Amino acid sequence: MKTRAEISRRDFLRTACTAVGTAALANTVFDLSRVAAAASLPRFNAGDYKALVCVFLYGGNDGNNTIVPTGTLDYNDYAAARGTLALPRASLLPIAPLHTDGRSWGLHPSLGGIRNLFAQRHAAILANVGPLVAPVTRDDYLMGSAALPPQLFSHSDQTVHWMTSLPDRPAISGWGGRMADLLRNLNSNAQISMSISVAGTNTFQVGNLVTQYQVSTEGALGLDGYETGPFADPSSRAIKSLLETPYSNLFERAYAGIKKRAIDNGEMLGAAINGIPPLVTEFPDTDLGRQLRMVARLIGARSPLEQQRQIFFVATGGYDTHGDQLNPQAQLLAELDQSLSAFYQATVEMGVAQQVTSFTASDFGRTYTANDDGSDHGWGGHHFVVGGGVQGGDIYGAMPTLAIEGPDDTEEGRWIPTTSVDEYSATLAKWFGVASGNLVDVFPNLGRFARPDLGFLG
Amino acid sequence: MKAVLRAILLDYEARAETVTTQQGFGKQKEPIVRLGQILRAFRATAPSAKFRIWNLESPEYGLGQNPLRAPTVFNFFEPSYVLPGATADAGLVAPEFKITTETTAIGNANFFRDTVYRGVSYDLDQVSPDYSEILPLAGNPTQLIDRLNLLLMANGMSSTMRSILIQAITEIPPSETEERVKAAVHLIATSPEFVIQK
Repeated sequence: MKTRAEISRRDFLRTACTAVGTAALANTVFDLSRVAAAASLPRFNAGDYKALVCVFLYGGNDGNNTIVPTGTLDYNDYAAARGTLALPRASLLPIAPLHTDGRSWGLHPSLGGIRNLFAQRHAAILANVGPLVAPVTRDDYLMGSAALPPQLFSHSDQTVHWMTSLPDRPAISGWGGRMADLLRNLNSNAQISMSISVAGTNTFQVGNLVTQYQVSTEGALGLDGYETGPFADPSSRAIKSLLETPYSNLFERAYAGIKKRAIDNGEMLGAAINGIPPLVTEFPDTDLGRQLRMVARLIGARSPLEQQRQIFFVATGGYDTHGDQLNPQAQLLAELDQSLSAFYQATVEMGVAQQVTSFTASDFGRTYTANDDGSDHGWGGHHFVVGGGVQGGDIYGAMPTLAIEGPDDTEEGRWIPTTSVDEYSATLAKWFGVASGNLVDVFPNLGRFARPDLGFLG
Repeated sequence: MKAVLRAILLDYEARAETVTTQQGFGKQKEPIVRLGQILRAFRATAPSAKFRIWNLESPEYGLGQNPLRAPTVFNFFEPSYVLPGATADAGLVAPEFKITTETTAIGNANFFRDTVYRGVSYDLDQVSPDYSEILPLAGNPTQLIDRLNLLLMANGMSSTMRSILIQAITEIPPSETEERVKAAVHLIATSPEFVIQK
């Protein structure tokens, strides 16, 4: 017989379950439906289309070999510091950013396409970006008095911080998801989610109201052997009945909901993307190339799908180059370069180059010093933003002082970010359509940083 | 040791049948577990006498989960994953739903359909279920479904689901005994009530 004193967490959860539907979690940051209702949102306008494409590089891309100093003294320091990791100076692709801090830079040899886009001012470099709870100095960091993102240098945690842009709170939603919650009324067709992932479930697109929709590089999947209509076979009709049964068990309900949505949306999506003319632009036959090709086709289908705003997520891995960095990173960056270049070309072909912005993100940068022939987990890293609407051909933010025990170093050349993920993301969000007054709802920590709009999107 | 056993075996949730009717009770059986369950329930074997099952990681064409080969050291899903919606509102975590996407829901269903009708893997290595034990019940859909309810769902099938299945099997011609059996197993294996363990 259980006494009152033995009321357990299990009992609490059981009671809580019976109250489902009568009390939603109230947390103003995430209850953006109220904010959305209050704001005056425009009605669907196909001419005002915008898409954001998050290109996540899992593992932590070494920014230090992505953008390399080319001035003689700076390069010599770089070569001395990086040892086995140093790229040959002659192999670097020089860039001419509109504004410099006196140093000159070159891109990794694999990035020829991005170098061209940079020269055409359709690509920008974001320097030394990373998760921050608040701005941090080296002194604060060394004294242990700084508020820092939890679990620095941990893949899973830093990846989540990049995706939530809220490192000092439990990860309940991603900033992409919060944007989608806020702007969802812009899309007339609510059946197709604003948030589409071609790379599986991700925290970036977790919202409270808008559920991310996964597709594969081939499109939405169909259920084998499934027929609809009154003359469908008995199994198909049974499957339909089983999916339409109202389940009281929450997990059964969730599962049935996902499967049913998948079937319905799959049919709608398939019809839409097959109904548009195929792209002329050729994409590389790589994982990232195939993902971005599907994104391009989905963008092509934005009108039949009535999507005025779309948020896409693609990703590739292998960037965690602890051992043997040079060749793997060269191949990975080549894949990135070719895929992004093809994708940009596709947006030009579709006449939406100015309306689609792609941006890279990664767990962290890597240590400036080498560990044998690889590098270890860092913090701040450099990133690219690509699109016709980008004020490209420039470096935004501050490239770190590339010196061990210099003012930007924590240790071993793990750069303290000089630009926060919040500022980077808020600039993208503002371009995407989040009103200035609502930015703090999507990025609650934004007020702690100096530049909520970095200016790379006009 | 005795105390540990007692604590596990006599736990309220282990003994009280009423918990199975609570809305938030249970969890999703992850794809690997479901595949194991189907293969073991029907004593699946391959002509080669080996269990050469290759990569199952494709979310579209496999399980979306590769046994013993999680994509990272952080396993297939984190224990704290919260699925937005009713389960989140109820304060529940749903780790297995991290890998339950529109893609894997369909991909899994297709994979299990193949497994039930043919088996996993190919040629001499194809690990196929053996339905000989239940084939004699094919002539009586009610008995067939009840037997499968016991075998696969610990008699937990709802009366609604039972009616739907009995109806569906009855509509398959009685001469197609193998089809009746496979359709029944397929419908159960891909049903929400089977996927969720209570």
